Amino acid sequence: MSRTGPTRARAVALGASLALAAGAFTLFFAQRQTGGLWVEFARSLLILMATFWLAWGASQAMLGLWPGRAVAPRRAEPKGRCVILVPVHEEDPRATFARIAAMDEALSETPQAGLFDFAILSDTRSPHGAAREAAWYLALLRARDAEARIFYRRRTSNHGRKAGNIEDFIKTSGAAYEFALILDADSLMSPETIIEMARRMEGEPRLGLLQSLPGVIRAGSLFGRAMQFSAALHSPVFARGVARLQGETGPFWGHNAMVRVHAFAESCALPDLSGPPPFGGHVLSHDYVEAALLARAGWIVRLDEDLAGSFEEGPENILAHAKRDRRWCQGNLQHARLLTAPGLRRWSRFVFLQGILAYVSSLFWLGFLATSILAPALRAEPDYFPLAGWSFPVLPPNETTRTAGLIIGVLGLLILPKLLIAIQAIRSGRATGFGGAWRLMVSTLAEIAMSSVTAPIFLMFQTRSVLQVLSGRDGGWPASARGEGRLSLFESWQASRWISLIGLGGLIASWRLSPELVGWLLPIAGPMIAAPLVIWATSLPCRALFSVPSETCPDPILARQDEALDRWAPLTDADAAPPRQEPQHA
Amino acid sequence: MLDRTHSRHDTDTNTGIVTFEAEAARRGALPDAPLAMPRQRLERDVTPALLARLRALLAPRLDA
Repeated sequence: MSRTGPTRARAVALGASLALAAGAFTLFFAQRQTGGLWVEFARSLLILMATFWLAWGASQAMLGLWPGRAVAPRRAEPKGRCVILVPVHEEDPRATFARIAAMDEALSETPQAGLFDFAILSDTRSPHGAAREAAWYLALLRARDAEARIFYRRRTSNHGRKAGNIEDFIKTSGAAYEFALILDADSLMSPETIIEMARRMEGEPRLGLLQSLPGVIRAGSLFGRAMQFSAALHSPVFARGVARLQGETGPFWGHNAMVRVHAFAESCALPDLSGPPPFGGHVLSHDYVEAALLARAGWIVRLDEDLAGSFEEGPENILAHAKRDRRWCQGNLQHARLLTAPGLRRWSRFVFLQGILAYVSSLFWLGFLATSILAPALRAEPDYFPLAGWSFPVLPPNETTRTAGLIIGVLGLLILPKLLIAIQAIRSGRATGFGGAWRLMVSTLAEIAMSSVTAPIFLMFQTRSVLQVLSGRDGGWPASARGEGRLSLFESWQASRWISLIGLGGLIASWRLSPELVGWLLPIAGPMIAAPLVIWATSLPCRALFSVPSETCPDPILARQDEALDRWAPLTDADAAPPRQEPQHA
Repeated sequence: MLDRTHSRHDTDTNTGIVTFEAEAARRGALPDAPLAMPRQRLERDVTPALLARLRALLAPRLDA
């Protein structure tokens, strides 16, 4: 694991991003058209903001690629008891509990088996969902002979959602444990990783939270597999960059992370924010806030990206991704309320700001596109002879040159890090897990092509989410969309026809107002117009592309989960919990 | 399927059949080991600080 001073890394990343953003602003503004000064200034400002955001992402990748000094983390043989928390909310209990069965079985074969318990913390509200959970929990107990080791409780009130669910557990049972491994319903972790995390927690008494980097597994659709590939290839590098930037004020992503229970208890009881949702009420993206509060209390929060054997499942189509992103958008924008929270570290405040920017940047891009289309209509007629006594015409700067420069810059910031990561993977031998160098490069290029096509569609979904939140619409707490793979063309059309209409409108407006931009707008407007087709096509199954290490050399915990699922596959819900005759007491 | 035993009652008094929800709640009961979680402060109440600053600013002039 590499550790370099976060201050220097922050200075380099921020300096480079600001310099690139300022450069883009200067070049764009210097090439402005005559007349319409304010429009040109606004466009240049939007370019500055959007470039900063892209450059910030690219700088994290560069930091991750930079070779660093490997420092082994402090470790000690775990002695404290650890509870593995699995909060659930309207999940499929068979699939969720099969993961628990696999992890419990794998842990039971280790010398540290006696240290670990599981607690399934249910926030399920529907009577049918609750009944299924109870039935499959009893099946899990039978399968694992796990009474008093795998617990199950369903709350009567959902106050505080997931954060409130964990808080409720700690208030009831927290004193029984030294550590808690917080999972999601779709999380899966190898016993070696769980024990290694406990070792690192035991070895560093100031460590309040240790975050692992979950890899995406079991994707089947084109979209899901592209995400899975990107998570396997790019995320470790980006995560290393993030770890170098954040140092001991690291991230918490809400799951696949271990906390020191008493540190979490003393620091992380979240209050409801004043006012109604979406900006008031429960803290939605509680993980970022909990990380900031642990750091405020002096605890180390660390991301150890070298921890393998940590997995989750991802959305299988663009609509499922957009649904999850809507929730994250509201949670991140709500953090605007916490920028001035007392006592937070400066870096924690910056992380909140970064999360807000991640969503608001979609408005910058859309604003830039809109002003670019409208700019010719707002401009004065060019003055070809601005200098008295100069008989040769002075031609205004060419819009095409500016647009081409902009596109090259954007593509460079987006694509260059991905290509460099692929090259590094080939040179380091990591490509083997991706099917070899040739397959890795083909998959990389396919992922770049696919993310270029889907980016304008995500831009629209994200813009809609931001506008909904800003206009006060609360997204509620929908159940997670897991395993929702293949979509029909009709479903895709219904969900995205508004994007097609906006794309078509933008293209027609550009053709009428600034015809020279039509060609440059096509890579953006084209996918927007074809959004229903893109969403449908990317939800189809795909096996040919995007091989990842979890397929070519899978962790044994995946096979255990398959075995648990296979054992339960023939069972119906009724078989899971056969009626039982209670002994009659005299 | 779940209709067979899908009842919110703990035990059917006539048959003695325990509903699996009640059984799951009983067999899954969490350890009784409470730990306090003090509520954290996240919102800055600027009014007292602002008033104190104003008072500090104005007091010498008023005294004069």
